[in-house]
Amino acid sequence: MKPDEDGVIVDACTLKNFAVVGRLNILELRFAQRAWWTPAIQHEAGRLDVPRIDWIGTTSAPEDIGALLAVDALRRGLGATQADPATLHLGEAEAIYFLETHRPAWTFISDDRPAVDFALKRGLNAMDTQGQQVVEVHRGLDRLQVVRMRGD
Amino acid sequence: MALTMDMLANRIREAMRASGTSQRALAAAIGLDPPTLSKSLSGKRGFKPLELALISKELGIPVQHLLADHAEDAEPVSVLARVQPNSSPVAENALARVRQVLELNELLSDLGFKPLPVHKPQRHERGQPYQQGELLAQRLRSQAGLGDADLPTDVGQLAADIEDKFNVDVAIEPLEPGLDGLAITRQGYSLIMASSSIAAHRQRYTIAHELGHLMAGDHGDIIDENINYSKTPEETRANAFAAAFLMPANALRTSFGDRSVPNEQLIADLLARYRVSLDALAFRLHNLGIIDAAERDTVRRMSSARITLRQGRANDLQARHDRRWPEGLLRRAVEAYVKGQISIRPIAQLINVDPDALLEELAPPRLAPPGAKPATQSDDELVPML
Repeated sequence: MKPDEDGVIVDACTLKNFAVVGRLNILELRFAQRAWWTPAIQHEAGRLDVPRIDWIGTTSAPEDIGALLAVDALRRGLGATQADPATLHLGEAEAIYFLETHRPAWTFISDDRPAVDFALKRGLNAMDTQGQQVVEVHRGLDRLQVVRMRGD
Repeated sequence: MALTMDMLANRIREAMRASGTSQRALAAAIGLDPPTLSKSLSGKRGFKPLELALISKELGIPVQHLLADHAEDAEPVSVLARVQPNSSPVAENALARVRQVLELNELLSDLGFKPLPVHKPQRHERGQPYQQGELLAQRLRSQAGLGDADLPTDVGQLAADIEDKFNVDVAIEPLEPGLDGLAITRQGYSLIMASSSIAAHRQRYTIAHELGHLMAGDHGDIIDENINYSKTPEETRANAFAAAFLMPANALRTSFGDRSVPNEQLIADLLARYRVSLDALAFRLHNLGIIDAAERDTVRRMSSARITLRQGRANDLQARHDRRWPEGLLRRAVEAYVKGQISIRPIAQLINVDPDALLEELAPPRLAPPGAKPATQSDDELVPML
Protein backbone atom coordinates (compact mmCIF):
# COMPACT_ATOMS: atom_id res chain seq x y z
CA MET A 1 0.00 0.00 0.00
CA LYS A 2 1.34 3.41 -0.96
CA PRO A 3 0.83 6.52 1.14
CA ASP A 4 -1.15 8.40 -1.51
CA GLU A 5 -2.93 11.71 -1.07
CA ASP A 6 -6.30 10.04 -0.56
CA GLY A 7 -5.23 8.09 2.47
CA VAL A 8 -7.52 7.72 5.45
CA ILE A 9 -6.89 6.73 9.05
CA VAL A 10 -9.81 4.73 10.40
CA ASP A 11 -10.48 4.88 14.12
CA ALA A 12 -11.08 1.77 16.23
CA CYS A 13 -14.63 2.75 17.22
CA THR A 14 -15.64 2.96 13.56
CA LEU A 15 -14.13 -0.46 12.84
CA LYS A 16 -15.88 -1.86 15.88
CA ASN A 17 -19.28 -0.45 14.89
CA PHE A 18 -19.07 -1.92 11.41
CA ALA A 19 -17.62 -5.20 12.65
CA VAL A 20 -20.40 -5.73 15.18
CA VAL A 21 -22.94 -6.15 12.38
CA GLY A 22 -20.55 -7.91 10.01
CA ARG A 23 -20.32 -4.90 7.70
CA LEU A 24 -16.57 -4.25 7.63
CA ASN A 25 -16.84 -4.93 3.90
CA ILE A 26 -18.50 -1.53 3.47
CA LEU A 27 -15.36 0.13 4.76
CA GLU A 28 -13.18 -2.18 2.71
CA LEU A 29 -15.08 -1.37 -0.49
CA ARG A 30 -14.84 2.32 0.21
CA PHE A 31 -11.30 2.60 1.55
CA ALA A 32 -9.28 -0.49 0.64
CA GLN A 33 -5.75 0.27 -0.59
CA ARG A 34 -5.78 3.62 1.14
CA ALA A 35 -6.86 2.80 4.71
CA TRP A 36 -4.44 2.99 7.61
CA TRP A 37 -4.43 2.71 11.36
CA THR A 38 -1.87 3.72 13.95
CA PRO A 39 -0.31 1.16 16.32
CA ALA A 40 -2.57 2.36 19.14
CA ILE A 41 -5.70 2.09 16.97
CA GLN A 42 -4.63 -1.38 15.90
CA HIS A 43 -4.13 -2.33 19.54
CA GLU A 44 -7.53 -0.90 20.49
CA ALA A 45 -9.23 -2.71 17.61
CA GLY A 46 -7.74 -5.97 18.90
CA ARG A 47 -8.95 -5.20 22.40
CA LEU A 48 -12.45 -4.55 20.98
CA ASP A 49 -12.41 -7.95 19.23
CA VAL A 50 -12.51 -6.46 15.75
CA PRO A 51 -11.78 -9.38 13.37
CA ARG A 52 -8.42 -9.56 11.66
CA ILE A 53 -8.21 -6.99 8.85
CA ASP A 54 -5.64 -7.34 6.08
CA TRP A 55 -6.64 -4.33 4.00
CA ILE A 56 -5.37 -1.72 6.47
CA GLY A 57 -1.76 -0.57 6.69
CA THR A 58 -0.03 0.47 9.92
CA THR A 59 1.45 3.94 10.14
CA SER A 60 4.81 4.59 11.71
CA ALA A 61 4.94 5.68 15.35
CA PRO A 62 7.34 8.30 16.70
CA GLU A 63 9.86 7.49 19.42
CA ASP A 64 11.34 10.84 20.36
CA ILE A 65 10.54 12.77 23.53
CA GLY A 66 8.98 15.70 21.72
CA ALA A 67 6.55 13.41 19.95
CA LEU A 68 5.69 11.53 23.16
CA LEU A 69 4.88 14.83 24.87
CA ALA A 70 2.87 16.05 21.88
CA VAL A 71 0.83 12.85 21.66
CA ASP A 72 0.25 12.93 25.42
CA ALA A 73 -0.96 16.55 25.22
CA LEU A 74 -3.35 15.58 22.41
CA ARG A 75 -4.59 12.62 24.43
CA ARG A 76 -5.25 14.84 27.44
CA GLY A 77 -6.88 17.38 25.14
CA LEU A 78 -9.17 14.61 23.94
CA GLY A 79 -10.30 14.15 27.53
CA ALA A 80 -8.03 11.48 29.03
CA THR A 81 -7.14 12.02 32.68
CA GLN A 82 -4.73 10.27 35.01
CA ALA A 83 -7.64 8.27 36.39
CA ASP A 84 -8.31 6.77 32.95
CA PRO A 85 -6.56 3.79 31.35
CA ALA A 86 -3.34 4.92 29.66
CA THR A 87 -4.62 3.81 26.26
CA LEU A 88 -7.85 5.84 26.40
CA HIS A 89 -7.96 8.24 23.40
CA LEU A 90 -4.40 7.23 22.52
CA GLY A 91 -5.43 6.02 19.05
CA GLU A 92 -7.10 9.32 18.17
CA ALA A 93 -4.17 11.28 19.58
CA GLU A 94 -1.65 9.23 17.64
CA ALA A 95 -3.74 9.59 14.46
CA ILE A 96 -4.00 13.37 14.78
CA TYR A 97 -0.27 13.63 15.50
CA PHE A 98 0.59 11.47 12.48
CA LEU A 99 -1.70 13.43 10.17
CA GLU A 100 -0.33 16.77 11.36
CA THR A 101 3.30 15.75 11.05
CA HIS A 102 3.26 13.37 8.06
CA ARG A 103 0.07 13.39 5.98
CA PRO A 104 -1.95 16.60 6.44
CA ALA A 105 -3.93 15.88 3.26
CA TRP A 106 -5.25 12.57 4.53
CA THR A 107 -8.57 12.17 6.33
CA PHE A 108 -9.33 10.96 9.84
CA ILE A 109 -12.43 8.78 10.01
CA SER A 110 -14.09 8.21 13.34
CA ASP A 111 -17.43 7.75 15.05
CA ASP A 112 -16.08 9.74 17.99
CA ARG A 113 -17.68 13.12 17.31
CA PRO A 114 -15.57 15.11 19.80
CA ALA A 115 -12.40 13.67 18.22
CA VAL A 116 -13.62 14.50 14.70
CA ASP A 117 -14.55 18.01 15.79
CA PHE A 118 -11.11 18.39 17.43
CA ALA A 119 -9.32 17.26 14.27
CA LEU A 120 -11.38 19.66 12.14
CA LYS A 121 -10.60 22.53 14.50
CA ARG A 122 -6.91 21.75 14.06
CA GLY A 123 -7.29 22.15 10.30
CA LEU A 124 -7.30 18.47 9.42
CA ASN A 125 -9.68 16.60 7.17
CA ALA A 126 -11.96 14.51 9.33
CA MET A 127 -15.18 12.64 8.80
CA ASP A 128 -17.80 11.49 11.27
CA THR A 129 -18.94 8.22 9.74
CA GLN A 130 -21.84 7.92 12.14
CA GLY A 131 -21.22 4.22 11.71
CA GLN A 132 -24.17 3.26 13.82
CA GLN A 133 -26.53 5.00 11.43
CA VAL A 134 -24.85 3.53 8.38
CA VAL A 135 -25.16 0.10 9.91
CA GLU A 136 -28.82 0.69 10.72
CA VAL A 137 -29.46 1.70 7.11
CA HIS A 138 -27.78 -1.47 5.89
CA ARG A 139 -29.79 -3.57 8.32
CA GLY A 140 -32.92 -1.94 6.91
CA LEU A 141 -31.82 -2.73 3.35
CA ASP A 142 -31.19 -6.33 4.36
CA ARG A 143 -34.67 -6.63 5.80
CA LEU A 144 -36.15 -5.07 2.64
CA GLN A 145 -34.28 -7.56 0.50
CA VAL A 146 -35.64 -10.46 2.55
CA VAL A 147 -39.17 -9.14 2.23
CA ARG A 148 -38.78 -8.80 -1.54
CA MET A 149 -37.36 -12.31 -1.88
CA ARG A 150 -40.30 -13.69 0.05
CA GLY A 151 -42.65 -11.71 -2.21
CA ASP A 152 -44.55 -10.20 0.76
CA MET B 1 14.88 20.79 33.35
CA ALA B 2 13.42 19.47 30.12
CA LEU B 3 12.67 15.77 29.95
CA THR B 4 15.22 13.60 28.14
CA MET B 5 15.06 10.01 26.95
CA ASP B 6 17.56 9.05 29.65
CA MET B 7 15.36 10.60 32.34
CA LEU B 8 12.35 8.72 30.99
CA ALA B 9 14.28 5.43 30.90
CA ASN B 10 15.45 6.03 34.49
CA ARG B 11 11.91 6.65 35.67
CA ILE B 12 10.73 3.43 34.06
CA ARG B 13 13.59 1.48 35.62
CA GLU B 14 12.75 2.99 39.03
CA ALA B 15 9.09 2.05 38.58
CA MET B 16 10.14 -1.48 37.61
CA ARG B 17 12.22 -1.76 40.77
CA ALA B 18 9.40 -0.35 42.91
CA SER B 19 6.88 -2.83 41.51
CA GLY B 20 9.29 -5.77 41.40
CA THR B 21 8.80 -6.20 37.67
CA SER B 22 11.62 -7.84 35.71
CA GLN B 23 12.69 -6.64 32.28
CA ARG B 24 11.62 -9.92 30.74
CA ALA B 25 8.16 -9.76 32.38
CA LEU B 26 7.66 -6.17 31.28
CA ALA B 27 8.72 -6.99 27.72
CA ALA B 28 6.23 -9.83 27.59
CA ALA B 29 3.44 -7.68 29.04
CA ILE B 30 3.84 -4.94 26.44
CA GLY B 31 4.52 -7.20 23.48
CA LEU B 32 8.17 -6.25 22.90
CA ASP B 33 11.05 -8.66 22.61
CA PRO B 34 13.48 -8.31 25.56
CA PRO B 35 16.45 -7.01 23.50
CA THR B 36 14.29 -4.18 22.09
CA LEU B 37 13.11 -3.18 25.57
CA SER B 38 16.69 -3.40 26.78
CA LYS B 39 17.76 -0.97 24.05
CA SER B 40 15.03 1.47 25.07
CA LEU B 41 15.89 1.21 28.75
CA SER B 42 19.54 1.90 27.99
CA GLY B 43 18.68 4.95 25.88
CA LYS B 44 19.69 3.43 22.53
CA ARG B 45 16.12 3.42 21.31
CA GLY B 46 13.11 5.56 22.24
CA PHE B 47 9.63 4.50 23.35
CA LYS B 48 6.58 4.64 21.13
CA PRO B 49 3.36 6.14 22.56
CA LEU B 50 1.62 2.76 22.75
CA GLU B 51 4.64 1.15 24.44
CA LEU B 52 4.71 3.93 27.01
CA ALA B 53 0.97 3.54 27.66
CA LEU B 54 1.33 -0.22 28.15
CA ILE B 55 4.34 0.28 30.43
CA SER B 56 2.31 2.79 32.43
CA LYS B 57 -0.53 0.31 32.75
CA GLU B 58 1.74 -2.57 33.68
CA LEU B 59 3.74 -0.62 36.28
CA GLY B 60 0.77 1.30 37.65
CA ILE B 61 2.25 4.73 37.07
CA PRO B 62 0.41 7.40 35.05
CA VAL B 63 1.96 8.42 31.73
CA GLN B 64 1.85 12.04 32.92
CA HIS B 65 4.13 11.11 35.82
CA LEU B 66 6.58 9.42 33.48
CA LEU B 67 6.58 12.45 31.21
CA ALA B 68 6.33 15.15 33.90
CA ASP B 69 8.85 17.84 34.41
CA HIS B 70 10.51 17.23 37.80
CA ALA B 71 10.15 20.77 39.08
CA GLU B 72 6.39 20.84 38.52
CA ASP B 73 5.94 17.36 39.88
CA ALA B 74 7.63 18.29 43.13
CA GLU B 75 5.21 21.10 43.89
CA PRO B 76 2.74 19.87 46.52
CA VAL B 77 -0.99 20.10 46.04
CA SER B 78 -2.39 22.35 48.71
CA VAL B 79 -5.93 21.52 49.79
CA LEU B 80 -7.69 23.05 52.74
CA ALA B 81 -11.09 21.70 53.65
CA ARG B 82 -13.83 23.11 55.84
CA VAL B 83 -15.87 20.43 57.57
CA GLN B 84 -18.71 20.50 60.03
CA PRO B 85 -18.05 20.04 63.75
CA ASN B 86 -17.76 16.41 64.83
CA SER B 87 -17.73 15.30 61.24
CA SER B 88 -15.09 13.39 59.32
CA PRO B 89 -16.51 13.13 55.83
CA VAL B 90 -14.99 10.71 53.41
CA ALA B 91 -13.98 13.31 50.86
CA GLU B 92 -12.95 10.94 48.08
CA ASN B 93 -15.41 12.33 45.55
CA ALA B 94 -14.42 15.90 46.35
CA LEU B 95 -10.73 15.08 46.05
CA ALA B 96 -11.31 13.25 42.77
CA ARG B 97 -13.06 16.35 41.50
CA VAL B 98 -10.16 18.49 42.73
CA ARG B 99 -7.70 16.29 40.85
CA GLN B 100 -9.82 16.59 37.69
CA VAL B 101 -9.87 20.38 37.95
CA LEU B 102 -6.12 20.53 38.65
CA GLU B 103 -5.35 18.27 35.69
CA LEU B 104 -7.32 20.53 33.39
CA ASN B 105 -5.51 23.55 34.77
CA GLU B 106 -2.18 21.83 34.18
CA LEU B 107 -3.11 20.86 30.63
CA LEU B 108 -4.27 24.38 29.80
CA SER B 109 -1.11 25.85 31.34
CA ASP B 110 1.02 23.42 29.34
CA LEU B 111 -0.79 24.60 26.20
CA GLY B 112 -0.13 28.24 27.01
CA PHE B 113 -3.50 29.14 28.55
CA LYS B 114 -2.16 30.07 31.97
CA PRO B 115 -4.24 31.31 34.91
CA LEU B 116 -4.15 35.00 35.72
CA PRO B 117 -2.02 35.77 38.79
CA VAL B 118 -3.94 35.87 42.06
CA HIS B 119 -4.25 39.36 43.52
CA LYS B 120 -3.03 38.99 47.09
CA PRO B 121 -2.51 41.76 49.61
CA GLN B 122 0.57 41.71 51.77
CA ARG B 123 -0.07 39.69 54.90
CA HIS B 124 0.37 41.34 58.25
CA GLU B 125 2.53 38.98 60.27
CA ARG B 126 2.23 40.69 63.62
CA GLY B 127 -0.64 40.62 66.10
CA GLN B 128 -3.02 37.88 67.09
CA PRO B 129 -4.47 35.67 64.34
CA TYR B 130 -7.89 37.35 64.61
CA GLN B 131 -6.22 40.75 64.19
CA GLN B 132 -4.30 39.46 61.17
CA GLY B 133 -7.55 38.20 59.62
CA GLU B 134 -9.31 41.53 60.21
CA LEU B 135 -6.42 43.49 58.71
CA LEU B 136 -6.08 41.13 55.76
CA ALA B 137 -9.77 41.56 54.91
CA GLN B 138 -9.49 45.34 55.18
CA ARG B 139 -6.45 45.35 52.90
CA LEU B 140 -8.09 43.08 50.37
CA ARG B 141 -11.25 45.21 50.29
CA SER B 142 -9.16 48.33 49.94
CA GLN B 143 -7.01 46.82 47.19
CA ALA B 144 -10.14 45.83 45.25
CA GLY B 145 -11.70 49.27 45.72
CA LEU B 146 -14.50 47.84 47.82
CA GLY B 147 -13.94 49.92 50.93
CA ASP B 148 -16.83 49.24 53.29
CA ALA B 149 -19.35 48.62 50.51
CA ASP B 150 -21.85 45.79 50.78
CA LEU B 151 -21.02 42.66 48.82
CA PRO B 152 -23.57 41.19 46.39
CA THR B 153 -26.42 39.47 48.19
CA ASP B 154 -26.59 36.72 45.58
CA VAL B 155 -24.04 34.01 46.34
CA GLY B 156 -23.37 33.37 42.65
CA GLN B 157 -22.68 37.05 42.08
CA LEU B 158 -20.40 37.12 45.12
CA ALA B 159 -18.47 34.21 43.62
CA ALA B 160 -18.24 36.00 40.26
CA ASP B 161 -16.96 39.17 41.96
CA ILE B 162 -14.26 37.22 43.79
CA GLU B 163 -13.18 35.67 40.51
CA ASP B 164 -13.08 39.02 38.73
CA LYS B 165 -11.36 41.00 41.45
CA PHE B 166 -8.88 38.47 42.82
CA ASN B 167 -8.45 35.84 40.06
CA VAL B 168 -9.52 33.09 42.43
CA ASP B 169 -11.97 30.65 40.86
CA VAL B 170 -15.08 29.75 42.82
CA ALA B 171 -17.07 26.58 42.21
CA ILE B 172 -20.28 25.61 43.98
CA GLU B 173 -20.89 21.91 43.62
CA PRO B 174 -22.31 18.97 45.54
CA LEU B 175 -19.77 17.82 48.13
CA GLU B 176 -19.94 15.02 50.64
CA PRO B 177 -22.24 15.69 53.64
CA GLY B 178 -20.26 17.40 56.36
CA LEU B 179 -17.81 18.96 53.93
CA ASP B 180 -18.70 22.64 53.49
CA GLY B 181 -15.88 23.62 51.21
CA LEU B 182 -12.22 23.50 50.34
CA ALA B 183 -9.49 25.58 48.82
CA ILE B 184 -6.71 24.57 46.47
CA THR B 185 -3.55 26.22 45.23
CA ARG B 186 -1.47 24.63 42.51
CA GLN B 187 0.87 26.03 39.88
CA GLY B 188 -0.42 29.56 40.27
CA TYR B 189 -4.05 28.47 40.11
CA SER B 190 -6.33 28.99 43.12
CA LEU B 191 -9.78 27.50 43.52
CA ILE B 192 -12.46 27.67 46.18
CA MET B 193 -15.07 24.94 46.11
CA ALA B 194 -18.18 25.33 48.27
CA SER B 195 -20.89 22.76 48.83
CA SER B 196 -24.11 23.46 46.93
CA SER B 197 -26.14 21.47 49.45
CA ILE B 198 -25.63 23.79 52.40
CA ALA B 199 -27.59 26.95 53.16
CA ALA B 200 -26.70 30.01 51.09
CA HIS B 201 -25.46 31.95 54.12
CA ARG B 202 -23.11 29.09 54.93
CA GLN B 203 -21.93 28.98 51.32
CA ARG B 204 -21.05 32.68 51.59
CA TYR B 205 -19.21 32.21 54.84
CA THR B 206 -17.37 29.18 53.51
CA ILE B 207 -16.31 31.04 50.38
CA ALA B 208 -15.06 33.96 52.46
CA HIS B 209 -13.32 31.63 54.91
CA GLU B 210 -11.50 29.78 52.13
CA LEU B 211 -10.60 33.09 50.51
CA GLY B 212 -9.01 34.02 53.82
CA HIS B 213 -6.84 30.90 53.71
CA LEU B 214 -5.75 31.59 50.15
CA MET B 215 -5.02 35.25 50.81
CA ALA B 216 -3.02 34.39 53.92
CA GLY B 217 -0.99 31.85 51.95
CA ASP B 218 -2.02 28.95 54.19
CA HIS B 219 -1.12 25.59 52.79
CA GLY B 220 -0.88 21.95 53.68
CA ASP B 221 -1.86 18.64 52.23
CA ILE B 222 -5.29 18.41 53.75
CA ILE B 223 -6.37 20.33 56.80
CA ASP B 224 -9.65 19.30 58.35
CA GLU B 225 -11.30 22.21 59.99
CA ASN B 226 -13.85 22.52 62.66
CA ILE B 227 -15.13 25.93 61.80
CA ASN B 228 -16.71 26.88 65.10
CA TYR B 229 -14.39 25.20 67.54
CA SER B 230 -11.04 24.99 65.84
CA LYS B 231 -8.37 26.95 67.62
CA THR B 232 -5.48 26.72 65.21
CA PRO B 233 -4.08 30.15 64.29
CA GLU B 234 -4.85 29.54 60.60
CA GLU B 235 -8.49 28.77 61.35
CA THR B 236 -8.91 31.68 63.70
CA ARG B 237 -7.39 34.00 61.12
CA ALA B 238 -9.56 32.61 58.30
CA ASN B 239 -12.71 33.00 60.40
CA ALA B 240 -11.80 36.55 61.39
CA PHE B 241 -11.10 37.28 57.73
CA ALA B 242 -14.48 35.90 56.66
CA ALA B 243 -16.36 37.96 59.23
CA ALA B 244 -14.50 41.15 58.34
CA PHE B 245 -14.74 40.53 54.60
CA LEU B 246 -18.49 39.92 54.68
CA MET B 247 -19.34 42.46 57.42
CA PRO B 248 -16.93 45.42 57.39
CA ALA B 249 -16.51 46.98 60.82
CA ASN B 250 -17.16 50.60 59.85
CA ALA B 251 -20.32 49.77 57.97
CA LEU B 252 -21.68 47.76 60.89
CA ARG B 253 -20.89 50.51 63.38
CA THR B 254 -22.59 53.06 61.16
CA SER B 255 -25.67 50.86 60.83
CA PHE B 256 -25.90 50.50 64.56
CA GLY B 257 -25.56 54.24 65.13
CA ASP B 258 -26.21 55.26 68.70
CA ARG B 259 -28.67 52.50 69.45
CA SER B 260 -27.62 50.88 72.70
CA VAL B 261 -29.83 47.79 72.43
CA PRO B 262 -30.18 45.72 69.24
CA ASN B 263 -33.81 45.32 68.18
CA GLU B 264 -35.25 42.67 65.94
CA GLN B 265 -35.93 45.00 63.04
CA LEU B 266 -32.32 46.15 62.95
CA ILE B 267 -31.00 42.59 63.19
CA ALA B 268 -33.39 41.45 60.45
CA ASP B 269 -32.20 44.33 58.27
CA LEU B 270 -28.54 43.46 58.87
CA LEU B 271 -29.16 39.79 58.10
CA ALA B 272 -30.89 40.77 54.86
CA ARG B 273 -28.00 43.02 53.97
CA TYR B 274 -25.07 40.75 54.81
CA ARG B 275 -26.76 37.34 54.28
CA VAL B 276 -24.94 35.69 57.15
CA SER B 277 -26.25 33.49 59.95
CA LEU B 278 -27.67 34.97 63.12
CA ASP B 279 -24.72 33.52 65.04
CA ALA B 280 -22.15 35.00 62.67
CA LEU B 281 -23.74 38.43 62.97
CA ALA B 282 -24.09 38.23 66.75
CA PHE B 283 -20.46 37.25 67.25
CA ARG B 284 -19.26 39.88 64.81
CA LEU B 285 -21.16 42.61 66.65
CA HIS B 286 -19.77 41.40 69.93
CA ASN B 287 -16.19 41.03 68.67
CA LEU B 288 -16.33 44.61 67.40
CA GLY B 289 -17.52 45.79 70.82
CA ILE B 290 -20.82 47.05 69.41
CA ILE B 291 -22.82 44.83 71.77
CA ASP B 292 -21.86 43.07 74.99
CA ALA B 293 -21.93 39.33 75.67
CA ALA B 294 -25.47 39.39 77.09
CA GLU B 295 -26.78 41.27 74.06
CA ARG B 296 -24.94 38.87 71.79
CA ASP B 297 -26.78 35.97 73.39
CA THR B 298 -30.06 37.87 73.11
CA VAL B 299 -29.43 38.29 69.39
CA ARG B 300 -28.56 34.61 69.03
CA ARG B 301 -31.92 33.68 70.59
CA MET B 302 -33.99 35.88 68.28
CA SER B 303 -36.45 33.68 66.43
CA SER B 304 -39.44 35.82 65.55
CA ALA B 305 -41.22 35.67 62.23
CA ARG B 306 -39.47 38.92 61.33
CA ILE B 307 -36.11 37.24 61.66
CA THR B 308 -37.19 34.02 59.98
CA LEU B 309 -38.92 35.74 57.06
CA ARG B 310 -36.41 38.53 56.63
CA GLN B 311 -35.83 40.05 53.22
CA GLY B 312 -33.72 37.82 51.00
CA ARG B 313 -34.59 34.61 52.81
CA ALA B 314 -36.55 33.27 49.83
CA ASN B 315 -33.66 34.05 47.47
CA ASP B 316 -31.27 32.28 49.79
CA LEU B 317 -33.53 29.22 49.86
CA GLN B 318 -33.71 29.29 46.06
CA ALA B 319 -29.92 29.18 45.91
CA ARG B 320 -29.77 25.78 47.62
CA HIS B 321 -28.43 23.18 45.17
CA ASP B 322 -27.53 25.80 42.55
CA ARG B 323 -24.28 24.77 40.91
CA ARG B 324 -21.52 26.96 39.63
CA TRP B 325 -18.43 26.00 37.65
CA PRO B 326 -15.01 27.65 38.13
CA GLU B 327 -15.37 30.39 35.57
CA GLY B 328 -11.74 31.34 35.01
CA LEU B 329 -10.88 27.74 34.21
CA LEU B 330 -13.99 27.40 32.06
CA ARG B 331 -13.11 30.51 30.05
CA ARG B 332 -9.56 29.28 29.48
CA ALA B 333 -10.88 25.88 28.41
CA VAL B 334 -13.36 27.38 25.96
CA GLU B 335 -10.63 29.58 24.50
CA ALA B 336 -8.38 26.54 24.10
CA TYR B 337 -11.26 24.65 22.47
CA VAL B 338 -12.01 27.42 20.01
CA LYS B 339 -8.33 27.52 19.07
CA GLY B 340 -8.23 23.77 18.50
CA GLN B 341 -5.94 23.06 21.43
CA ILE B 342 -8.35 20.80 23.30
CA SER B 343 -11.45 18.88 22.32
CA ILE B 344 -14.92 19.48 23.73
CA ARG B 345 -14.48 16.63 26.24
CA PRO B 346 -12.48 18.41 28.97
CA ILE B 347 -15.10 21.17 28.99
CA ALA B 348 -17.90 18.62 29.13
CA GLN B 349 -16.14 16.90 32.04
CA LEU B 350 -15.72 20.20 33.86
CA ILE B 351 -19.39 21.13 33.61
CA ASN B 352 -20.63 17.57 33.88
CA VAL B 353 -22.56 17.27 30.62
CA ASP B 354 -22.56 14.84 27.71
CA PRO B 355 -19.85 15.90 25.19
CA ASP B 356 -22.04 15.19 22.16
CA ALA B 357 -24.82 17.37 23.59
CA LEU B 358 -22.35 20.15 24.31
CA LEU B 359 -20.97 19.84 20.80
CA GLU B 360 -24.47 20.35 19.40
CA GLU B 361 -24.74 23.47 21.52
CA LEU B 362 -21.37 25.00 20.65
CA ALA B 363 -20.68 23.83 17.11
CA PRO B 364 -22.24 25.83 14.26
CA PRO B 365 -24.92 24.00 12.24
CA ARG B 366 -23.70 22.12 9.20
CA LEU B 367 -24.91 24.26 6.30
CA ALA B 368 -24.73 23.57 2.59
CA PRO B 369 -21.54 24.93 1.02
CA PRO B 370 -21.68 28.40 -0.59
CA GLY B 371 -23.26 28.30 -4.04
CA ALA B 372 -25.21 25.13 -3.35
CA LYS B 373 -28.84 25.05 -4.45
CA PRO B 374 -31.04 26.34 -1.62
CA ALA B 375 -33.44 23.96 0.04
CA THR B 376 -37.10 24.26 -0.93
CA GLN B 377 -38.73 24.07 2.46
CA SER B 378 -41.71 26.16 3.32
CA ASP B 379 -41.26 29.10 5.66
CA ASP B 380 -42.65 27.03 8.51
CA GLU B 381 -40.00 24.38 8.00
CA LEU B 382 -37.25 26.99 8.16
CA VAL B 383 -38.09 27.90 11.74
CA PRO B 384 -35.30 26.39 13.84
CA MET B 385 -36.16 23.90 16.52
CA LEU B 386 -35.58 25.46 19.92
